[in-house]
Amino acid sequence: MKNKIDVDILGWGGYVPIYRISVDEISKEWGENPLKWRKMLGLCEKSVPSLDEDSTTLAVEACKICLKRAQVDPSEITAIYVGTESKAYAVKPTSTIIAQALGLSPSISSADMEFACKAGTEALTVCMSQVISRGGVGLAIGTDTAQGRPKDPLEYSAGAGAAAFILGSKHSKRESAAKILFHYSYVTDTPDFWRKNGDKYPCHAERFTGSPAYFKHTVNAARTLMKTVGTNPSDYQHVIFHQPNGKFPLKAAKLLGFVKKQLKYGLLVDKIGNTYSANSLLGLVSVLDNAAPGDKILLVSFGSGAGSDAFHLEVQEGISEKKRLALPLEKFINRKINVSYGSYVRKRAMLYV
Amino acid sequence: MAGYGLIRVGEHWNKSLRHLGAEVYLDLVSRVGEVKINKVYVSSLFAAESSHQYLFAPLLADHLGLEHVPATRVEAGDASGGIAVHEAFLSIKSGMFDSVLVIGAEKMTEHVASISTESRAKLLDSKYESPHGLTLAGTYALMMREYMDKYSVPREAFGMFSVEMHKNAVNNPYAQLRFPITLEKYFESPTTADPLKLYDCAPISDGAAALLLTSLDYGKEISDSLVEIKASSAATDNFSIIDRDSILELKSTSKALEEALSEAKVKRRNIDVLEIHDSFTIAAFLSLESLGFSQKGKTHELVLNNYFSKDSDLPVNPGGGLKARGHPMGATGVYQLVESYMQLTGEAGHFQVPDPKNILVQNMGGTGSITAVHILSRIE
Amino acid sequence: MRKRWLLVASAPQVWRESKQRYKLIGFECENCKRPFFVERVICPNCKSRKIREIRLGAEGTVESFTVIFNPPKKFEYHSPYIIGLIKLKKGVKVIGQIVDCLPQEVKVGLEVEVSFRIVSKDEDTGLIMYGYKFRPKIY
Repeated sequence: MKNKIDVDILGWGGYVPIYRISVDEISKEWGENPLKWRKMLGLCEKSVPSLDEDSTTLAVEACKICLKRAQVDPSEITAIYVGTESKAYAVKPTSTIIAQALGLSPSISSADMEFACKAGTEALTVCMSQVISRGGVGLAIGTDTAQGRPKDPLEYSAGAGAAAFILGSKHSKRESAAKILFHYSYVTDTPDFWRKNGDKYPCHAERFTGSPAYFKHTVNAARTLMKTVGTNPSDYQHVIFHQPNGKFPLKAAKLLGFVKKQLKYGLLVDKIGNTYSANSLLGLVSVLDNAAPGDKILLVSFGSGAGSDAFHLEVQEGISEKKRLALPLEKFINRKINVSYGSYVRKRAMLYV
Repeated sequence: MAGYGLIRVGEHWNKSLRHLGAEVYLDLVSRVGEVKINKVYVSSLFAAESSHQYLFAPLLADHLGLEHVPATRVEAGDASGGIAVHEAFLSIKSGMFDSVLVIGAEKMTEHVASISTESRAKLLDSKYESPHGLTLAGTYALMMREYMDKYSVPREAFGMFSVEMHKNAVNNPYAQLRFPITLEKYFESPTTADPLKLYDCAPISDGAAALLLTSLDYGKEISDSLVEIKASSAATDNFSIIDRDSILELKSTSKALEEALSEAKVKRRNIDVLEIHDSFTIAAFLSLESLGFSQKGKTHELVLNNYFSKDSDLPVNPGGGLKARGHPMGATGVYQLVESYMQLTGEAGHFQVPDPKNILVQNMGGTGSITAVHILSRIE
Repeated sequence: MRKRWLLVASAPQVWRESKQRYKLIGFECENCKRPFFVERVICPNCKSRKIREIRLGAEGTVESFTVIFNPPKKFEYHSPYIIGLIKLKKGVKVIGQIVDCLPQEVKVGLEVEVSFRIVSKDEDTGLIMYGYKFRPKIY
């Protein structure tokens, strides 16, 4: 088969902050009908970072879990790539802070990536290239504390979370949890969502974010990848789409011919909101937490601006042991404290003027 | 000790730091006259921070008209006053000087409370304690929680101590909080750093106090009211509470006390009045225990039995203590010593304790990183 | 406009301290084996100068705690927040905030683990001091 690659996932980890705000609580604040929003967005609640959390700290927590599963000494890691659109500093790398916090060696390749919600899978693809071309073991992270302007529909969905993966190749001679065997990316210039330099909140083109943006890229990437691999939707036990709300991934699945069962573990948006660069990667974390050896996984991300990365994965024997080595994402999703709108405003630093 | 100058502790909005210092000097001069002064020690903790002034000691000396007299600021947290007197004591004992002036002066009302809280947090370890948002009150709250937990102490014991201090302050014309409080009011007061309540804490205060220390010979020349400093000692402890084996032992206090007792050749039973550093009620409890005037974990029993009230055999803080006289940080130690001087010379008026002979004064810095202990005696 | 340059966090200081704050590094006297957290050049116990770094692990228990209602200016928007005196597994004590729980959930003896957080942030320059805080242990 053409374009086949062979990258091992040695470890995976996800982290979601403890606080949640419900769609009901937000709609109550604006005098809206909560049922309308719950139905329109397919969401119950979203994760909220605390004032002392940012995309860096979430990433470190996800990486700590990932490292436990990979059983790799931090000093052996040769590359770190972080995808985020909510960098702690506008100028100053996040990757170096994470590297220092985890005890990585200074002799590593490191970079911060930005591609709206696709930055996480972008970090993954760059990390894949790195371990294929240079060997070694790489760390790929998607992390965000997403911003939603008050009253904007995004306010209901913009959540926070991080997902981390440690990748190796056959040269790293380590137990593999899953193999990434095919990859395909599809990008165009589409202004569906953006954030101007210096602005705190992004703008979006409302319904224009749908068919010309999300669906076009997601469907194209998924179809082309399956065609390359020679698979049909029914060959996959698990499929994960980017999930900006609860409705888009269901519609994409339907368009492509997947059934609800295949989305079971990878669909998290109703409980934690849209975690942007961590979004589809957290779906993959959840799937790996629950997958069995031999399972086939299709992962399709989407980032506004716009583009999709699609991946074909096959779960390996090593997964069973690795699952037991660290906390599953479910722990962090079920661990929660619901907050009021007032508390949410404070946690999101909106009191700072 | 040959003379003093005081102003009431409080919120002196119309007086600057230098003005406070000058006023207590004039008060002192009105009592002992224009006397020789060889050296000035100024104790002020926040001169640089709240009044933007380094070199405050020479500035004050200039304003007092003490031409060319050497002047040094002493900073030892809220033990600055006690340590300044300790330094003055040593300089006289060394034989170098006959007459040394100590002025404690502090302005804590120049900025809003949260800034003052930030300033006081600098009494904690700047690497291991304050960066986490810990405050001075918060550190004592950690001690209080552990204390209450370990010894099952009823909360009202702390309340009763506070009530007692307010009762004493009513009679002290120099006290900031000259009003009585009830246990009910104590319990109703807001929590500042759980479990500490507002009425567990000393207030934010401005104030200044002056004290003239002399050799015995020179003292006799200028004053009829002399008090002997029988012992002046100071000791330190592990700076950060995380380095202490127990956060319920104030070792700087117990160590300084031990030395003071042996230097003064007096026993605890000879002490008639205790002037202790009750910046927080828990600080008072731990101080009494570290000074050996009550057993570990038993202070509440003594407090609840009025063992330390003003009309008891061992009055504690007859002027209201830091809790109610007020706590102008760097000046506090000087206030404590001046009030004790007034007690021993019979000048304490309405807050006079009958006929004391020996008074023990404990002034502590920060969380007990440093303590100064003085034993003062009436000269018969 | 930055008007508070004298009061802002120090970049060299944040950088110097990051190693200990990020990884909860402790110290041990090579001579008497006494572990401690406050970095020193002389052992507080036996005065030896031979001190080495040790890992303190990520878990501990709450020895005491407080809830701060009257914070310093720069912690105003965090109030009320919980600060714990935490005893780590090697017997070393540290001060740190306890996060991810409500004040009424904290008890003396509560088991906690390290969480990587923003310890403080200079709102003027944006300089961030990251480091350890503690959360109730997740099982």
